[in-house]
Amino acid sequence: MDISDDQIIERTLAGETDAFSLLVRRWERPIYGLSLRMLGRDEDARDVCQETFLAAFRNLRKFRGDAKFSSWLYRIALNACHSRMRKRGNVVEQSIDLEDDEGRKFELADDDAELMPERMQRDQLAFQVRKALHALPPEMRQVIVMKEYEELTFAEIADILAIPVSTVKSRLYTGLQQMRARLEKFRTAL
Amino acid sequence: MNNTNRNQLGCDRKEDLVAYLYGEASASERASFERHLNECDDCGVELKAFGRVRDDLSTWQVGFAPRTEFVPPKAKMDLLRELIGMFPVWARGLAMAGAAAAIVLIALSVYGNRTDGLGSAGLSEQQVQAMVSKAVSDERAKIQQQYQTELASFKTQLAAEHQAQLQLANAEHQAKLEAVRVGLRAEIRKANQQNGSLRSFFAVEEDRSYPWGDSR
Repeated sequence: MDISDDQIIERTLAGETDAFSLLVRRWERPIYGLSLRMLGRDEDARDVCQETFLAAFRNLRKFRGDAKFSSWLYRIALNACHSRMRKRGNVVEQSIDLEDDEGRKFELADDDAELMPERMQRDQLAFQVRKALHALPPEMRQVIVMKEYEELTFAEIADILAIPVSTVKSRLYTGLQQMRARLEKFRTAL
Repeated sequence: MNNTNRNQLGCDRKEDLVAYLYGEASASERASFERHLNECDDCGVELKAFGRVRDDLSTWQVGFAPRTEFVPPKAKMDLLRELIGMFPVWARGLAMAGAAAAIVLIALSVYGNRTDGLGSAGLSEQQVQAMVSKAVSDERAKIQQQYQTELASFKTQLAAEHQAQLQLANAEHQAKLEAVRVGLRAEIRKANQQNGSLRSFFAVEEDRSYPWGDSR
């Protein structure tokens, strides 16, 4: 049976600081994914990931057990993302990586050589998705990312962002509308 | 499920649509919205379009996450211990002795200030004036004493120099007197010799003046 987040936190606070690494291993992928989709750059996402876990470790005593650890962690990561966006004026659209230096950032659904045209089309679509997502205001983007990719519930998103559930739904709806408009334009151009 | 927010096409059930789209509507809400879909083409079209957007969004998959290198930051005391541990034993001993001396000096300084009364607040004007007068008077006495000491020393030096010069002048004078004395003696001897010669001469001449004898 897997040890729970709360148990790991308890052990860490009791002085077993290495136990925190278990939390890092458990949550690094979602936090990296969230940061990458919010910022669009691998380097920034890695930095945010590092900052998030460091901040969480330093402030672990302030974490109250009444909330989920993951929600707290997402909140720290989002704050770090927003801070980074403010510093660079939210110019993510110009710096979107299609893939990383080793070409391994995106997991393509199908590697079959016979399906190359379809794959290319899919790559193009993925790129357009990234562009459309990063053209959204951060408030809408973060809701779409958390709902669509992190698969959080409306209530969890509302808790992380400290906003009402209705606002989450409203932002999601508006975000999807804007995404639809951009992506339909792309489809028409094909 | 009732809300007043209208979508682009004028329907006011956009939040219900989102909840239905993501499967977060309750059974009754789902049933209610499905009934609405039978009547509202706009919501039906939007639902399908949002479904496509979701399919498009799923094309962006993050296949891996880089391993986060996390080293728990050490406490400040641990860092200090490590830093101290880098120095050799003699250096640590020296540093500890220095620190102890500094603490003693600070303690003595604080204690001294307290015993002088300067550390305590609330001195009256008279007390301050008295302290200042005493300090001025002490300083004046000190300067006077210093002046007297220097004057006495100067006097002693002057007297010694005067004495030395007197002795020198006296010695020179004595030497001159001795030279004169020597010269005079020489002159006297010379004169005596001449006198003796004259006496001898005049004695011979006296004998020649009375050849016939002297009846005296």
